[in-house]
This record gives sequence, structure tokens and C-alpha cells, in this order.
Amino acid sequence: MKFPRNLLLVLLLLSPAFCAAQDSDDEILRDALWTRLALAKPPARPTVGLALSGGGARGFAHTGVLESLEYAGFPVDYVAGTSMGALIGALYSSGLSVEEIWKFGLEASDLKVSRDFRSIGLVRLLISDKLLTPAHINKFIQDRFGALTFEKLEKPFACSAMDIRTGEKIVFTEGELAPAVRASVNLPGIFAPVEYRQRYLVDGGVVDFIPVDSARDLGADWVLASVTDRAAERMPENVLMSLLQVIDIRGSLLARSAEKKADFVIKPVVTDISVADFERCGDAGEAGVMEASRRIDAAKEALLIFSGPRLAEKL
Amino acid sequence: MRLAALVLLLLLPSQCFAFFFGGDSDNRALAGLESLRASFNAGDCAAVQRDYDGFLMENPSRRLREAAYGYLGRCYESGGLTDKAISLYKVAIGLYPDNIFFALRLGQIYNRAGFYDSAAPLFLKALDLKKDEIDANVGLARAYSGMGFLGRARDFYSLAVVLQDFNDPAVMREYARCLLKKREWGEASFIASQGRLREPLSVFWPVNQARILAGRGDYSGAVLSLDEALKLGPARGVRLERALYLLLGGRQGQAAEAADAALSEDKADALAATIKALALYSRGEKEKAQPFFAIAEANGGQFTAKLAGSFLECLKNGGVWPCKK
Repeated sequence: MKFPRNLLLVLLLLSPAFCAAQDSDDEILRDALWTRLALAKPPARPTVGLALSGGGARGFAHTGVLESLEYAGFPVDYVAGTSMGALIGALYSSGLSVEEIWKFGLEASDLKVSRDFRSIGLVRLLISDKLLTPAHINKFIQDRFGALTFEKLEKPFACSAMDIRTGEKIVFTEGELAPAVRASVNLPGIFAPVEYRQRYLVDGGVVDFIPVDSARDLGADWVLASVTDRAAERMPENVLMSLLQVIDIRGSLLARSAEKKADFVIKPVVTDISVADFERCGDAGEAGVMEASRRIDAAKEALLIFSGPRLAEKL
Repeated sequence: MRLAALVLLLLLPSQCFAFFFGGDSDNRALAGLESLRASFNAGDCAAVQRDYDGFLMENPSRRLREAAYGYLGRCYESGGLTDKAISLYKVAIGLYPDNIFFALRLGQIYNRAGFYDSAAPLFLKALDLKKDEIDANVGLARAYSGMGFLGRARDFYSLAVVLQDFNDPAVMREYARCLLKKREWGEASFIASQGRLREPLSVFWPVNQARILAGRGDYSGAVLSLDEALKLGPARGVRLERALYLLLGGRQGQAAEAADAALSEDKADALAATIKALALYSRGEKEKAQPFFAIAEANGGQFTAKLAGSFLECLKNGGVWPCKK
């Protein structure tokens, strides 16, 4: 790595973040008010929703974002997720600690989830008139969520899927959790649609990549969106990867308009990780931590500015 | 025959010995290294850089070059020749993989420049070789903290302060800040108590303690802790932080008085104006709060101004949250 001398000098002069620096007035005000907001419960503060985007393996970056939010004491009252965001969101809403969600990601390849992707035989897929059933993904979701309903979750949760016949966005907020999450992560064109309540459901990322509206519909006054950054910048190596990348790019395009509806957006940089790189969930999670921690003070400020009058009324 | 050769070698004059084995050159190289060391210790980095080439001309041994790299690298650093120091340390790390000094220096440069992801592997490598190396633990803690991995940073800060027996105030303060950011109140309180024991006259520790207490919602305790801080050294920032905790603890009247005191010294004090405005607003005197929010909006930093602006906007729309028409 070659560092330009001038840049290094400037950085060396400006950036020793760990050195004891004098707190600015902005920091004193923000940090003091934050102590109040972090401990307050609605209605003493506005309600906060978290919208977790799709993105396959890259979506594991949400776990890193959750870790940073937790360190900051960021309140989260409602969670909405799509595709991988639905899976992470469901785990989080069910009360699983962030540490446990990390473990799930780091063990993703061992959990055989990625085998469903690796085992996709392209020739078989092309010549057969039947789509695949992802046995390992089904088992994983059934094991985790089989006994749960939306009503039993610790935090209100919503997840999105699409009816492949009509193109409608279907938002789940009640009933059994497992089929809803299963539908939300169901890649169209490869895995067979999930049949549920007379619907044929596939991955929600195609119609609702960042479920900001779902978080608001649950009751959130203010929504923070965690969005996996653009589609992987690499040439797909085969037909399957091409298909996944097209879905991903389509989702990213949708995300641009959805992002504008969020009150704050955190976009972990995961461009070098593809949708099916489940062995790299750990890297995606780390990218989430780094980006969220870089933006966390700005997120706190945005929420405080939004909440200020409400907080002051309830002092 | 072998014995005869050995006797001959022993009888050879030293110049010949040096000719065959380079001993004289080694001696000169050793002298050159001594000269570099003396110049370095005297703070004469110009001499170190000037004499370094001459030292290399003596074909010094690998071991001697290792020491010289250390002097030259640190001189590059102190002279602001950071890119040269980086190149030198990279070469040295390749040549002397078991010497943790070069990895530590390079890691510290990266940390200071904010290239934490480049720094972390260097400190990890150093710790592979020496687990209880304090600088490596501190460096890794800083790198992790800089990247936002507060849990990992905490572990390495924790080890470092124990290895230092809590005696390095700079590292103790960094660790305290990390714990505060991570909202790990128990350990933060413990470190604050250790810090106060070692630096009883420092304002940092009672302020830190106040923030821990405020983080737990104990605003009365936070105010008392800041009273201690003010005894050690009155400071505007501490007085206003105290006023904020008074406000958040429901003592609006006292908060407003403290803000008035600061505003009497500087009418444009944006933080004091915000506190005064918030005190009035929370007591329902919203119209009276308006001019103080206006002062804060006009004179405050980015956050203070925007916060004040949100209240002014709200007041325009009737002053009842959610404030939008």
C-alpha cells in the first residue's frame, strides 16, 4: 500500500481519535440528551423502527449494525425485514442476542444453508420443469422459528414477500413466523414458491428491498434503515450468479427510492461480497459494525433532533 | 592436516583474519552503529540519516542492520517522513519477522493516520510472538476501537491496563472512553475509581464518573460528581454539563439559573441558551423559550443549531409534537 506523504501528514495531525480530546459543546449536549433518550420509553420519546434490507449473504451486515446500535443504547421498538433482513430481523425480534446472531452467521456454512446454493445444479435446473426445494434452509428456519408466531415475538416484526402470480407485495405481521420468513428469503426462479394461504410466495426483495413502509405501518415514528450497499461489483461466474445479481441489482434500484423514505440510512460497504457468499457472512457483519460505528453519532443526532420537543415535554 | 590449518589460522595477524572473515569491517560497522545510536540518543536525526549510508557501506551483519533500521525508522517518523518510515518498516518486517518492534512502529503509524484495518493485523502478529506486549495490546485496542469493534477493543484495553498496573493515565482514559461508548457501566465505574486513585487532581475522572451515572439515569449522582470536578478546576464546559444533568433530572429552575450565569458572561453562548430554552420549554413556557432557541440556532455548532431549529419549527406549528402541520 502506497500512502501519499501529504495525506498521511494531514491524517497524522488530525486524526488521533483515541487521544483525549476536549469535548465540543455539540458533543456535550448530544451525549447528555442521549442518556435521557436511551433510557426513555414511548410515549416519553418517539417510537423507533428498524428496516433491514435484503441482500443475501451481504445482508449479514445487519448484524454488525445491530451490534453498534446496541452499544449506543439505540432504542428499537419495531423491526421490519426483507429476505436476509427478514431472517436477521426475526432472530433479533425473537429475543436472540446480537452475540448469538453473530454465531449463526459465522457458522452459516456449517449450518449447511449455503449448501442449498452450492447444490443448485444448473443443467438440472434448466432441463427440469421443477424448481428446487431448499431443504437445509427450510430446516434451519423450521428449527429456529417453527414454534413461534409474530404475536409471541419480543418486538413487533414485519417481513415482506411477493406473490409470484400477481406481483403483489405481501407483508406478514401476524400468524406463524416460519412460513413468512421462509417466503421472504425464497429466491425466485430457483427455489419453488412457498404456498401459503392460497399465495405463491417468493423473496420480497424484488418488490420491497428496504421495508421502511412496513416499519412505519407497525407504528414507528422514526425509521432507521440498514441497507446493504450496491450489488457486488464483479462479473457473475455462471447463469445462477447472473440471475442472483440481476435480482440484486433490481433490488438496489428499488432501494434508492425507499431510502429516501427512511429518516436515517446506514449502508455497510459490502460490494465485494456476493449474494451467495455465505462463507463471508463474518466479513459482511464486520462491514456492518464499521459503517454503523462511523455513522452512529450522526444517527443519534438525527433521532435527537426529531425527538427533541417530545423529550423536552416529558422531562 | 586439519590441525595444521587451525594452528595457521590462530597465528595469522588480525588484519589477515579480518581479510578472510570480515571482522575489521564488522568492527567498523559496529562503530558505525554506535555512532548512529549516539546520534539518535542525542536527538540528532540529521546525523543518523547522514551516517546511515556510510554504515551500510561497511557491509554490516544482519543483526547490526536490524538495530540501524530501528534508529533510522524512528528518525523518519520524527522528521515527518512517514512514507519512508512505512517503507523501511515493511522491509524490516520481511527481513526480521520475529522482531515485533517494526510491526509495532508500523501499526502505530497506521493507527495515528486512522488506517485501523491496516494496523490491526500488525498488532495481532506482534501478540502472536509476545502475548503480554503492552504496546501491542494498546495498539490493537486502539485499532479495534477506531473501527468500531468496541467489544474487542475492550478486551485488549483491559489486558493492557492490567499489565501496566493501571499506571498509564493516557491508556486508562482511552479505556474509560471506550467503556463509556460501549455503555459497560460496571467496568467503567471500576476503571473510573482506579483512575481517580492514580490521578486525584484530574478533572477527567469525576467528569467520566458523572457520565457513567448519567448513562444509568442517576442525574443527581452525576451532578454531585461534577461538583467534585468543579472543585478541581472550574470550567465552562463542566458547569454547563452539570446544568444539563440538573435539567434532565427534573431540576429545571436550577438548570435555568446555571444557564443564566453562563449567559451573563456571554449572551451568545449557544449551549447555555439551549439549556435555558429547554428548561423553559419543559416547564411549558414555550414562548419564552423561543428567543433562547434563536440564539442557539444562530450561534451553535451544527447539532446545537439543528436541534434549536427543530424546536423553533415546532413552535411555529403550535408547539405540540409531532410538530408537523
